[in-house]
Amino acid sequence: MRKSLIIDGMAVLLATLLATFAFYGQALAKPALCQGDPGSLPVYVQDDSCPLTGSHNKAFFNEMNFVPGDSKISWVDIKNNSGQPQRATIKALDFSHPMAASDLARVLEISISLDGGNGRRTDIFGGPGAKKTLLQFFEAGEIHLSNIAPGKSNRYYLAVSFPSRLGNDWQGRTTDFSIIIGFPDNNNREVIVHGCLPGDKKQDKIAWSIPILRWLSPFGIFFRQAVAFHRN
Amino acid sequence: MVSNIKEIVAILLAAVMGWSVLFAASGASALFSSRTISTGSTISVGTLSFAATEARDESICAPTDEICWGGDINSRLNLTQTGSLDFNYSVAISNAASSPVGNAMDICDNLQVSDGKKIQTLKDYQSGASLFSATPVLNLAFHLVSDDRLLHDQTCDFDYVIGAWQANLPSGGSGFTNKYVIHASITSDPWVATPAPVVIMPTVSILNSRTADLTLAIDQFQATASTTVADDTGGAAVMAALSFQAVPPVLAPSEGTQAPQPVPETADKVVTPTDGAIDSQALTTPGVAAGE
Repeated sequence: MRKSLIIDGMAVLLATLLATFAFYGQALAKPALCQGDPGSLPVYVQDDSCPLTGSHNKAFFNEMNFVPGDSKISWVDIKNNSGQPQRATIKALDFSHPMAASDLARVLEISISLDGGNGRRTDIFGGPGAKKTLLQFFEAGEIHLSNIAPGKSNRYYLAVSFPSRLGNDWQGRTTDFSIIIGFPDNNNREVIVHGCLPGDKKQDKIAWSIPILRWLSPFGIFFRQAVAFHRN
Repeated sequence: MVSNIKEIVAILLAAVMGWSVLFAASGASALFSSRTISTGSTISVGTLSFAATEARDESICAPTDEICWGGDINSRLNLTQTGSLDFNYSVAISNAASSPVGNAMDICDNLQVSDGKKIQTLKDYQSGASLFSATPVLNLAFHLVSDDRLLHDQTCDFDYVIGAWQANLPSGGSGFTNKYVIHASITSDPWVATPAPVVIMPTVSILNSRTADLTLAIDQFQATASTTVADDTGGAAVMAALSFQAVPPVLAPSEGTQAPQPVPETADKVVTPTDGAIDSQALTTPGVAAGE
Protein backbone atom coordinates (compact mmCIF):
# COMPACT_ATOMS: atom_id res chain seq x y z
CA MET A 1 0.00 0.00 0.00
CA ARG A 2 2.80 2.38 1.00
CA LYS A 3 4.69 1.45 -2.15
CA SER A 4 1.62 2.19 -4.23
CA LEU A 5 1.29 5.66 -2.66
CA ILE A 6 4.90 6.48 -3.39
CA ILE A 7 4.49 5.40 -6.98
CA ASP A 8 1.31 7.41 -7.28
CA GLY A 9 3.00 10.48 -5.84
CA MET A 10 5.88 10.19 -8.26
CA ALA A 11 3.44 9.75 -11.09
CA VAL A 12 1.57 12.90 -10.08
CA LEU A 13 4.82 14.84 -9.94
CA LEU A 14 5.92 13.52 -13.31
CA ALA A 15 2.55 14.29 -14.88
CA THR A 16 2.64 17.82 -13.52
CA LEU A 17 6.09 18.38 -14.95
CA LEU A 18 5.00 16.98 -18.29
CA ALA A 19 1.97 19.23 -18.37
CA THR A 20 4.15 22.21 -17.57
CA PHE A 21 6.59 21.38 -20.32
CA ALA A 22 3.72 20.85 -22.69
CA PHE A 23 2.40 24.32 -21.85
CA TYR A 24 5.69 26.12 -22.24
CA GLY A 25 7.34 23.72 -24.60
CA GLN A 26 6.12 25.45 -27.71
CA ALA A 27 7.61 28.73 -26.62
CA LEU A 28 10.82 27.07 -25.58
CA ALA A 29 11.13 25.31 -28.87
CA LYS A 30 10.88 28.56 -30.81
CA PRO A 31 14.20 29.90 -31.95
CA ALA A 32 12.79 33.43 -31.79
CA LEU A 33 14.72 36.06 -29.85
CA CYS A 34 11.71 37.16 -27.88
CA GLN A 35 10.44 35.17 -24.96
CA GLY A 36 6.82 34.35 -24.27
CA ASP A 37 3.65 34.89 -26.22
CA PRO A 38 2.00 38.31 -25.98
CA GLY A 39 -1.29 36.86 -27.21
CA SER A 40 -3.80 39.36 -28.51
CA LEU A 41 -2.04 42.27 -26.80
CA PRO A 42 1.51 42.91 -27.97
CA VAL A 43 2.90 45.83 -25.98
CA TYR A 44 6.32 47.29 -26.76
CA VAL A 45 7.90 49.60 -24.24
CA GLN A 46 10.11 52.21 -25.82
CA ASP A 47 12.68 50.79 -28.20
CA ASP A 48 12.35 47.23 -26.99
CA SER A 49 11.96 44.95 -29.99
CA CYS A 50 10.24 42.27 -27.90
CA PRO A 51 6.74 42.65 -26.48
CA LEU A 52 5.98 42.40 -22.79
CA THR A 53 5.15 38.86 -21.77
CA GLY A 54 5.20 36.82 -18.62
CA SER A 55 8.81 36.00 -19.34
CA HIS A 56 9.98 39.28 -20.83
CA ASN A 57 9.87 42.56 -18.97
CA LYS A 58 10.83 46.10 -19.79
CA ALA A 59 10.40 48.85 -17.21
CA PHE A 60 8.90 52.15 -18.28
CA PHE A 61 11.23 54.13 -16.04
CA ASN A 62 14.59 53.34 -14.56
CA GLU A 63 15.92 56.71 -13.54
CA MET A 64 18.81 57.35 -11.20
CA ASN A 65 20.00 60.75 -10.06
CA PHE A 66 16.76 62.44 -11.03
CA VAL A 67 16.89 66.09 -9.99
CA PRO A 68 14.50 69.05 -9.98
CA GLY A 69 14.10 70.30 -13.50
CA ASP A 70 14.56 66.84 -15.01
CA SER A 71 11.98 65.06 -17.09
CA LYS A 72 11.87 61.66 -18.69
CA ILE A 73 9.59 60.55 -21.48
CA SER A 74 8.81 56.91 -22.02
CA TRP A 75 6.52 55.55 -24.67
CA VAL A 76 4.63 52.41 -25.36
CA ASP A 77 3.21 50.88 -28.53
CA ILE A 78 0.02 48.91 -27.93
CA LYS A 79 -1.28 46.67 -30.67
CA ASN A 80 -4.71 45.11 -30.86
CA ASN A 81 -4.50 41.55 -32.15
CA SER A 82 -7.79 40.49 -30.62
CA GLY A 83 -9.77 40.69 -33.82
CA GLN A 84 -12.25 43.18 -32.42
CA PRO A 85 -12.15 46.84 -31.30
CA GLN A 86 -10.64 47.29 -27.85
CA ARG A 87 -10.37 50.00 -25.24
CA ALA A 88 -6.70 50.22 -24.25
CA THR A 89 -6.41 50.80 -20.53
CA ILE A 90 -3.51 51.62 -18.27
CA LYS A 91 -3.16 51.34 -14.54
CA ALA A 92 -0.44 51.63 -11.92
CA LEU A 93 0.39 48.71 -9.68
CA ASP A 94 2.83 47.72 -6.96
CA PHE A 95 3.23 51.21 -5.50
CA SER A 96 3.64 51.60 -1.79
CA HIS A 97 0.47 51.87 0.22
CA PRO A 98 -0.08 53.64 2.44
CA MET A 99 2.25 56.08 0.81
CA ALA A 100 4.89 57.73 2.94
CA ALA A 101 4.91 61.50 3.13
CA SER A 102 8.40 61.44 1.68
CA ASP A 103 7.51 59.24 -1.29
CA LEU A 104 8.61 60.84 -4.49
CA ALA A 105 5.30 60.02 -6.15
CA ARG A 106 3.75 62.87 -4.20
CA VAL A 107 5.65 65.49 -6.17
CA LEU A 108 6.61 63.97 -9.49
CA GLU A 109 4.25 64.99 -12.24
CA ILE A 110 3.06 62.64 -14.95
CA SER A 111 1.30 63.16 -18.20
CA ILE A 112 -0.01 60.52 -20.56
CA SER A 113 -0.70 61.45 -24.14
CA LEU A 114 -1.64 59.79 -27.39
CA ASP A 115 0.59 60.18 -30.40
CA GLY A 116 -1.66 61.64 -33.06
CA GLY A 117 1.01 61.59 -35.76
CA ASN A 118 2.81 64.54 -37.31
CA GLY A 119 4.12 65.52 -33.91
CA ARG A 120 0.65 66.03 -32.47
CA ARG A 121 -0.11 64.65 -29.05
CA THR A 122 -3.42 64.49 -27.30
CA ASP A 123 -3.33 64.67 -23.52
CA ILE A 124 -5.12 61.81 -21.83
CA PHE A 125 -4.05 62.24 -18.22
CA GLY A 126 -2.26 65.26 -16.77
CA GLY A 127 -0.48 67.64 -19.08
CA PRO A 128 0.16 71.37 -19.05
CA GLY A 129 -3.43 72.34 -18.43
CA ALA A 130 -4.21 69.76 -15.78
CA LYS A 131 -1.07 68.69 -13.98
CA LYS A 132 -1.23 65.41 -12.14
CA THR A 133 1.16 63.87 -9.69
CA LEU A 134 2.33 60.32 -9.89
CA LEU A 135 0.33 59.66 -6.75
CA GLN A 136 -2.81 60.86 -8.49
CA PHE A 137 -1.99 58.47 -11.31
CA PHE A 138 -1.66 55.63 -8.83
CA GLU A 139 -4.95 56.48 -7.19
CA ALA A 140 -6.81 56.98 -10.45
CA GLY A 141 -7.04 53.25 -11.10
CA GLU A 142 -7.77 52.24 -14.66
CA ILE A 143 -7.34 55.03 -17.17
CA HIS A 144 -8.83 54.65 -20.61
CA LEU A 145 -6.19 55.45 -23.19
CA SER A 146 -8.08 55.20 -26.45
CA ASN A 147 -9.89 52.76 -28.67
CA ILE A 148 -7.76 50.61 -30.93
CA ALA A 149 -9.14 49.03 -34.06
CA PRO A 150 -8.38 45.38 -34.78
CA GLY A 151 -4.88 44.96 -36.15
CA LYS A 152 -3.99 48.56 -35.39
CA SER A 153 -1.41 49.98 -33.03
CA ASN A 154 -1.26 53.20 -31.05
CA ARG A 155 1.66 54.91 -29.38
CA TYR A 156 1.28 56.58 -26.01
CA TYR A 157 3.75 58.77 -24.17
CA LEU A 158 4.27 58.77 -20.43
CA ALA A 159 6.23 61.80 -19.28
CA VAL A 160 7.45 62.16 -15.72
CA SER A 161 8.88 65.48 -14.59
CA PHE A 162 10.44 66.78 -11.40
CA PRO A 163 9.31 70.38 -10.82
CA SER A 164 12.32 72.66 -10.53
CA ARG A 165 10.67 74.60 -7.69
CA LEU A 166 11.33 71.69 -5.35
CA GLY A 167 14.40 71.57 -3.18
CA ASN A 168 16.56 69.66 -0.77
CA ASP A 169 13.70 67.90 1.01
CA TRP A 170 13.54 65.48 -1.89
CA GLN A 171 17.19 64.52 -2.14
CA GLY A 172 17.68 60.77 -2.16
CA ARG A 173 13.97 59.95 -2.39
CA THR A 174 12.60 57.17 -4.55
CA THR A 175 9.37 55.75 -5.87
CA ASP A 176 8.68 52.35 -7.38
CA PHE A 177 5.73 51.02 -9.30
CA SER A 178 4.57 48.72 -12.05
CA ILE A 179 2.22 49.42 -14.92
CA ILE A 180 -0.48 47.15 -16.22
CA ILE A 181 -1.87 47.57 -19.72
CA GLY A 182 -4.84 45.68 -20.95
CA PHE A 183 -8.14 45.42 -22.72
CA PRO A 184 -10.90 45.49 -20.11
CA ASP A 185 -13.30 42.65 -19.62
CA ASN A 186 -16.69 44.31 -19.57
CA ASN A 187 -18.30 41.47 -17.66
CA ASN A 188 -16.21 41.54 -14.55
CA ARG A 189 -14.97 44.05 -12.14
CA GLU A 190 -11.87 43.63 -10.09
CA VAL A 191 -11.06 45.58 -6.97
CA ILE A 192 -7.50 45.54 -5.78
CA VAL A 193 -7.02 46.27 -2.13
CA HIS A 194 -3.48 47.16 -1.21
CA GLY A 195 -1.64 46.54 1.99
CA CYS A 196 -4.21 44.17 3.46
CA LEU A 197 -3.97 40.65 4.74
CA PRO A 198 -6.61 37.96 4.77
CA GLY A 199 -9.00 38.72 7.56
CA ASP A 200 -8.71 42.48 7.18
CA LYS A 201 -11.86 44.38 6.39
CA LYS A 202 -12.09 46.77 3.51
CA GLN A 203 -15.13 48.76 2.55
CA ASP A 204 -15.31 50.12 -0.92
CA LYS A 205 -17.94 51.29 -3.35
CA ILE A 206 -18.34 48.83 -6.14
CA ALA A 207 -20.58 49.77 -9.01
CA TRP A 208 -20.22 46.67 -11.10
CA SER A 209 -21.61 43.26 -10.47
CA ILE A 210 -19.72 40.12 -9.56
CA PRO A 211 -16.71 41.74 -8.01
CA ILE A 212 -13.58 39.80 -7.39
CA LEU A 213 -11.69 41.14 -4.45
CA ARG A 214 -7.94 40.82 -4.76
CA TRP A 215 -5.90 41.27 -1.65
CA LEU A 216 -2.44 42.57 -2.32
CA SER A 217 -0.39 41.93 0.76
CA PRO A 218 2.70 43.85 1.77
CA PHE A 219 4.64 40.80 0.69
CA GLY A 220 3.35 40.97 -2.85
CA ILE A 221 1.28 37.81 -2.52
CA PHE A 222 -2.11 37.71 -4.13
CA PHE A 223 -5.05 36.30 -2.28
CA ARG A 224 -8.15 36.00 -4.36
CA GLN A 225 -11.53 35.82 -2.81
CA ALA A 226 -14.97 36.32 -4.21
CA VAL A 227 -17.08 38.43 -1.89
CA ALA A 228 -20.73 39.14 -1.55
CA PHE A 229 -21.91 42.70 -1.64
CA HIS A 230 -25.15 44.54 -1.31
CA ARG A 231 -26.47 47.46 -3.29
CA ASN A 232 -26.96 50.69 -1.36
CA MET B 1 -8.52 -2.96 -13.51
CA VAL B 2 -11.05 -0.52 -12.18
CA SER B 3 -8.61 0.45 -9.53
CA ASN B 4 -5.99 1.17 -12.16
CA ILE B 5 -8.42 3.35 -14.09
CA LYS B 6 -9.22 5.28 -10.94
CA GLU B 7 -5.54 5.79 -10.29
CA ILE B 8 -4.98 7.08 -13.82
CA VAL B 9 -7.91 9.46 -13.51
CA ALA B 10 -6.62 10.63 -10.16
CA ILE B 11 -3.17 11.21 -11.61
CA LEU B 12 -4.52 13.19 -14.55
CA LEU B 13 -6.75 15.19 -12.24
CA ALA B 14 -3.80 15.99 -10.03
CA ALA B 15 -1.77 17.04 -13.05
CA VAL B 16 -4.51 19.37 -14.22
CA MET B 17 -4.76 20.84 -10.75
CA GLY B 18 -1.04 21.36 -10.60
CA TRP B 19 -1.10 23.07 -13.96
CA SER B 20 -4.00 25.23 -12.81
CA VAL B 21 -2.06 26.33 -9.77
CA LEU B 22 0.87 27.21 -11.98
CA PHE B 23 -1.36 29.14 -14.34
CA ALA B 24 -3.00 31.01 -11.49
CA ALA B 25 0.39 31.98 -10.13
CA SER B 26 1.30 33.47 -13.48
CA GLY B 27 -1.49 35.95 -13.00
CA ALA B 28 -4.89 35.57 -14.59
CA SER B 29 -7.16 38.56 -14.27
CA ALA B 30 -10.82 39.12 -14.15
CA LEU B 31 -10.47 42.84 -14.90
CA PHE B 32 -8.90 42.47 -18.29
CA SER B 33 -9.68 40.13 -21.09
CA SER B 34 -6.05 40.61 -22.07
CA ARG B 35 -3.37 42.30 -20.11
CA THR B 36 0.37 42.61 -19.70
CA ILE B 37 2.49 44.07 -16.95
CA SER B 38 5.66 46.11 -16.99
CA THR B 39 7.27 45.76 -13.59
CA GLY B 40 10.17 47.44 -11.87
CA SER B 41 9.75 51.07 -12.80
CA THR B 42 11.82 53.10 -10.38
CA ILE B 43 12.76 56.73 -10.10
CA SER B 44 15.50 57.71 -7.68
CA VAL B 45 16.61 61.20 -6.86
CA GLY B 46 20.27 62.04 -6.62
CA THR B 47 22.07 63.78 -3.76
CA LEU B 48 24.13 66.93 -3.88
CA SER B 49 26.80 66.74 -1.23
CA PHE B 50 30.47 67.64 -1.04
CA ALA B 51 33.34 68.37 1.30
CA ALA B 52 36.29 70.75 0.99
CA THR B 53 39.73 71.27 2.46
CA GLU B 54 42.32 74.00 2.15
CA ALA B 55 46.01 73.47 1.49
CA ARG B 56 48.70 76.14 1.25
CA ASP B 57 52.13 76.39 -0.29
CA GLU B 58 54.98 77.69 1.81
CA SER B 59 55.58 81.40 1.45
CA ILE B 60 58.97 83.07 1.31
CA CYS B 61 58.34 84.57 4.72
CA ALA B 62 59.54 83.22 8.01
CA PRO B 63 57.68 81.32 9.25
CA THR B 64 56.62 80.08 5.87
CA ASP B 65 52.96 79.84 6.70
CA GLU B 66 52.66 83.60 7.11
CA ILE B 67 52.32 86.44 4.68
CA CYS B 68 54.70 89.32 4.33
CA TRP B 69 55.36 92.17 2.01
CA GLY B 70 56.34 90.56 -1.24
CA GLY B 71 55.61 87.09 0.03
CA ASP B 72 52.20 85.96 -1.11
CA ILE B 73 50.28 82.98 0.22
CA ASN B 74 49.08 80.49 -2.38
CA SER B 75 46.10 78.47 -1.30
CA ARG B 76 44.18 75.59 -2.85
CA LEU B 77 40.60 74.72 -2.07
CA ASN B 78 40.13 71.03 -2.82
CA LEU B 79 36.53 69.94 -3.24
CA THR B 80 35.38 66.33 -2.97
CA GLN B 81 32.04 65.03 -4.23
CA THR B 82 30.32 62.97 -1.55
CA GLY B 83 26.89 62.81 -3.17
CA SER B 84 25.80 61.30 -6.46
CA LEU B 85 25.42 64.54 -8.42
CA ASP B 86 27.86 66.81 -10.16
CA PHE B 87 27.36 70.44 -9.22
CA ASN B 88 28.28 74.04 -9.82
CA TYR B 89 29.96 75.98 -7.05
CA SER B 90 31.35 79.36 -6.17
CA VAL B 91 33.45 80.55 -3.28
CA ALA B 92 32.97 83.68 -1.22
CA ILE B 93 34.88 84.99 1.77
CA SER B 94 32.91 86.21 4.72
CA ASN B 95 33.24 87.01 8.42
CA ALA B 96 36.64 88.60 7.89
CA ALA B 97 37.99 90.12 11.09
CA SER B 98 41.50 91.10 12.12
CA SER B 99 43.23 90.75 15.41
CA PRO B 100 44.47 92.26 17.58
CA VAL B 101 41.55 94.62 17.42
CA GLY B 102 42.09 98.35 17.14
CA ASN B 103 45.00 98.52 14.75
CA ALA B 104 45.35 101.72 12.82
CA MET B 105 45.60 99.58 9.69
CA ASP B 106 43.48 96.47 9.35
CA ILE B 107 45.18 93.57 7.63
CA CYS B 108 41.87 92.26 6.32
CA ASP B 109 41.42 95.55 4.52
CA ASN B 110 44.85 95.23 2.97
CA LEU B 111 44.67 91.78 1.48
CA GLN B 112 43.85 91.00 -2.09
CA VAL B 113 42.74 87.66 -3.43
CA SER B 114 43.44 86.45 -6.94
CA ASP B 115 41.95 83.29 -8.39
CA GLY B 116 43.59 83.57 -11.78
CA LYS B 117 40.56 85.22 -13.30
CA LYS B 118 40.17 88.34 -11.23
CA ILE B 119 41.65 90.18 -8.27
CA GLN B 120 39.41 91.39 -5.48
CA THR B 121 39.81 92.62 -1.96
CA LEU B 122 39.58 89.81 0.54
CA LYS B 123 36.40 91.09 2.14
CA ASP B 124 34.64 91.33 -1.22
CA TYR B 125 35.96 88.13 -2.74
CA GLN B 126 33.42 86.15 -4.72
CA SER B 127 34.57 83.64 -7.30
CA GLY B 128 32.78 82.90 -10.51
CA ALA B 129 30.84 79.67 -11.03
CA SER B 130 32.76 76.47 -11.68
CA LEU B 131 31.57 72.99 -12.53
CA PHE B 132 32.96 70.58 -9.99
CA SER B 133 33.78 67.81 -12.47
CA ALA B 134 35.78 70.27 -14.56
CA THR B 135 37.39 72.29 -11.75
CA PRO B 136 37.59 70.41 -8.47
CA VAL B 137 40.35 72.69 -7.17
CA LEU B 138 40.27 76.46 -6.83
CA ASN B 139 43.66 78.17 -6.59
CA LEU B 140 43.83 81.42 -4.65
CA ALA B 141 46.71 83.82 -4.06
CA PHE B 142 46.66 86.24 -1.14
CA HIS B 143 48.67 89.42 -1.54
CA LEU B 144 49.39 92.31 0.79
CA VAL B 145 48.68 95.63 -0.87
CA SER B 146 50.73 97.75 1.54
CA ASP B 147 54.10 97.35 3.15
CA ASP B 148 53.18 99.59 6.04
CA ARG B 149 54.67 98.43 9.30
CA LEU B 150 51.30 98.87 10.95
CA LEU B 151 50.31 95.64 9.24
CA HIS B 152 52.95 93.63 11.06
CA ASP B 153 51.90 90.80 13.36
CA GLN B 154 48.21 90.85 12.57
CA THR B 155 45.90 87.97 11.86
CA CYS B 156 42.95 88.04 9.53
CA ASP B 157 40.36 85.38 10.34
CA PHE B 158 37.74 84.59 7.74
CA ASP B 159 35.52 81.88 6.34
CA TYR B 160 35.49 80.35 2.92
CA VAL B 161 31.82 79.86 2.10
CA ILE B 162 31.48 77.37 -0.74
CA GLY B 163 28.00 77.34 -2.20
CA ALA B 164 26.92 74.57 -4.55
CA TRP B 165 23.87 74.12 -6.71
CA GLN B 166 22.54 71.77 -9.36
CA ALA B 167 24.49 71.71 -12.57
CA ASN B 168 21.33 72.10 -14.64
CA LEU B 169 19.85 75.07 -12.78
CA PRO B 170 20.99 78.67 -12.32
CA SER B 171 22.60 79.83 -9.12
CA GLY B 172 20.36 81.12 -6.38
CA GLY B 173 17.29 79.46 -7.77
CA SER B 174 15.40 76.42 -6.64
CA GLY B 175 16.49 72.84 -6.83
CA PHE B 176 19.16 71.17 -4.77
CA THR B 177 21.78 73.28 -3.03
CA ASN B 178 24.46 72.76 -0.44
CA LYS B 179 26.99 74.84 1.44
CA TYR B 180 30.34 74.12 3.02
CA VAL B 181 32.27 76.50 5.27
CA ILE B 182 35.98 76.36 6.03
CA HIS B 183 37.51 78.62 8.62
CA ALA B 184 40.89 80.06 7.72
CA SER B 185 43.30 82.77 8.83
CA ILE B 186 46.28 84.66 7.51
CA THR B 187 48.93 86.04 9.83
CA SER B 188 51.44 88.65 8.81
CA ASP B 189 55.09 88.18 9.43
CA PRO B 190 57.08 91.28 10.44
CA TRP B 191 59.03 92.05 7.34
CA VAL B 192 62.15 94.14 7.00
CA ALA B 193 61.66 97.81 6.22
CA THR B 194 61.16 98.84 2.66
CA PRO B 195 64.01 97.25 0.76
CA ALA B 196 66.86 99.41 -0.41
CA PRO B 197 66.29 100.93 -3.80
CA VAL B 198 67.88 99.42 -6.81
CA VAL B 199 69.51 102.02 -8.93
CA ILE B 200 69.07 101.60 -12.59
CA MET B 201 71.24 103.43 -14.99
CA PRO B 202 70.75 102.60 -18.61
CA THR B 203 73.82 102.65 -20.76
CA VAL B 204 73.02 104.84 -23.69
CA SER B 205 74.98 106.69 -26.22
CA ILE B 206 73.54 109.88 -27.54
CA LEU B 207 75.47 111.62 -30.20
CA ASN B 208 74.88 114.92 -31.88
CA SER B 209 71.83 115.64 -29.85
CA ARG B 210 71.16 118.20 -27.25
CA THR B 211 68.22 116.44 -25.82
CA ALA B 212 66.70 113.02 -26.17
CA ASP B 213 63.80 111.15 -24.75
CA LEU B 214 64.43 107.67 -23.59
CA THR B 215 61.78 105.16 -22.79
CA LEU B 216 62.77 102.06 -20.96
CA ALA B 217 60.43 99.29 -19.95
CA ILE B 218 61.49 97.11 -17.08
CA ASP B 219 59.11 94.37 -16.09
CA GLN B 220 55.96 96.11 -14.88
CA PHE B 221 57.56 99.51 -14.64
CA GLN B 222 57.87 102.01 -17.36
CA ALA B 223 60.59 104.60 -17.10
CA THR B 224 60.78 107.78 -19.02
CA ALA B 225 63.97 109.70 -19.09
CA SER B 226 64.58 113.18 -20.28
CA THR B 227 68.23 113.79 -20.71
CA THR B 228 70.25 116.84 -21.32
CA VAL B 229 73.50 116.47 -23.10
CA ALA B 230 76.16 119.07 -22.57
CA ASP B 231 77.87 118.57 -25.84
CA ASP B 232 78.89 115.91 -28.29
CA THR B 233 82.01 115.08 -26.47
CA GLY B 234 80.75 115.10 -22.93
CA GLY B 235 79.07 111.74 -22.77
CA ALA B 236 80.12 111.26 -19.19
CA ALA B 237 78.11 114.28 -18.18
CA VAL B 238 74.80 112.78 -19.14
CA MET B 239 72.29 113.23 -16.38
CA ALA B 240 69.08 111.33 -16.54
CA ALA B 241 66.05 112.32 -14.57
CA LEU B 242 64.22 109.07 -14.37
CA SER B 243 60.70 108.74 -13.14
CA PHE B 244 59.09 105.35 -12.81
CA GLN B 245 55.44 104.80 -13.28
CA ALA B 246 53.96 101.53 -12.18
CA VAL B 247 51.93 99.75 -14.82
CA PRO B 248 49.08 97.67 -13.39
CA PRO B 249 49.07 94.08 -14.52
CA VAL B 250 46.82 93.38 -17.46
CA LEU B 251 43.90 91.25 -16.33
CA ALA B 252 41.05 89.71 -18.21
CA PRO B 253 37.88 91.69 -17.62
CA SER B 254 35.27 89.85 -15.65
CA GLU B 255 31.62 90.81 -15.51
CA GLY B 256 30.32 91.92 -12.19
CA THR B 257 33.67 92.01 -10.53
CA GLN B 258 35.52 94.85 -8.98
CA ALA B 259 38.18 96.35 -11.14
CA PRO B 260 41.64 95.32 -10.04
CA GLN B 261 43.42 97.86 -7.93
CA PRO B 262 46.58 99.22 -9.53
CA VAL B 263 49.82 98.76 -7.78
CA PRO B 264 50.58 102.05 -6.00
CA GLU B 265 52.90 104.39 -7.74
CA THR B 266 56.36 103.94 -6.45
CA ALA B 267 58.79 106.60 -5.51
CA ASP B 268 61.06 107.93 -8.17
CA LYS B 269 63.87 105.63 -9.04
CA VAL B 270 62.88 103.02 -6.51
CA VAL B 271 62.35 99.47 -7.54
CA THR B 272 61.84 96.69 -5.08
CA PRO B 273 63.63 93.37 -5.46
CA THR B 274 60.32 91.63 -6.03
CA ASP B 275 59.48 93.52 -9.15
CA GLY B 276 60.84 90.92 -11.44
CA ALA B 277 64.09 89.97 -12.99
CA ILE B 278 66.16 92.97 -13.84
CA ASP B 279 69.33 92.54 -15.75
CA SER B 280 71.37 94.83 -13.58
CA GLN B 281 74.51 94.07 -15.54
CA ALA B 282 73.08 95.56 -18.63
CA LEU B 283 71.26 98.41 -17.02
CA THR B 284 73.63 99.77 -14.41
CA THR B 285 76.78 101.72 -14.73
CA PRO B 286 79.08 101.08 -11.82
CA GLY B 287 80.05 104.18 -9.96
CA VAL B 288 77.28 106.29 -11.36
CA ALA B 289 74.06 106.49 -9.42
CA ALA B 290 71.35 108.57 -10.89
CA GLY B 291 69.68 110.93 -8.53
CA GLU B 292 72.44 110.86 -5.99
